[in-house]
Amino acid sequence: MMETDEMLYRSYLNGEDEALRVLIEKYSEKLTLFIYGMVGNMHDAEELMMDSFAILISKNKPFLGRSTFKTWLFAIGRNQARMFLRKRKISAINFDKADFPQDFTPDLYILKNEQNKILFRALSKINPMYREALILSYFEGMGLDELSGVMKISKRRASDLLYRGKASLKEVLKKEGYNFAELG
Amino acid sequence: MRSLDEKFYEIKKREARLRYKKNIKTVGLLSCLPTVMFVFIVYLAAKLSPSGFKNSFPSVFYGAAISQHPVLGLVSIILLSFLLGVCVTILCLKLKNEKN
Repeated sequence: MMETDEMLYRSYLNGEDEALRVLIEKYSEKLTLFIYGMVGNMHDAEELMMDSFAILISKNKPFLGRSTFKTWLFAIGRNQARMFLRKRKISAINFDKADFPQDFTPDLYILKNEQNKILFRALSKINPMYREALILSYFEGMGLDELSGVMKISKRRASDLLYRGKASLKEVLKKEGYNFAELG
Repeated sequence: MRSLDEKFYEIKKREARLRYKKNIKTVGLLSCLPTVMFVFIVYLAAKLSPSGFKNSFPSVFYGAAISQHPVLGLVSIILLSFLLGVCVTILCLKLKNEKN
């Protein structure tokens, strides 16, 4: 029987370290990518990802099962990234200056793909809220339910952010001479 | 980019650090309890005693021979009650951790 994320989390709390290993393997790179979309630096993103996992397992904010495990983890990651940006007083990020390490594991295929690099750079030029919504929707495949859970907004607002974000992204890509439909 | 094992151990390390910080906070907060209780009892005694606090509780007022100066005596007892709170809380946390 396939174990769900929630079951793995409970197993870890009951003393099974291997369950945590599985969760880290499954989500660490996805979460790093999401945080990278917010902070624009891979090293910081990785650090924040580990902080998020540490918070997750430290029982400081216990998982009560009101949302899915993934939503909860990404919400913690988002909070960490926002706190990080607030501390550094960063309002806008520049992906052109961002480094893409050569030894990046293949799981982060998104950044190995040239189309996605273009998409990421275009995303850095749009409103941060639109960017978050689009990364969660396109790269993580989250629906409106999960999106509103991670971003702590209503479903209607999430849908609005996606719609406006898509329009902004199309505009940025058009200015740079790319076609949104081809990239999407 | 860290390997899975490195990530795992780093996350565990950070978790332990978070737990330690939480414990320190708990110890600090719970240790304030006996101090607050002591100050409250002293205040209540001063309020309720008809003959005045100094005459009713000279030993407490003078810090039970710790210091002859009235204020220093009181401060010493407050500090001691806080330290007692720290010790009791640490003991309780250790017992709780052992139980877990």
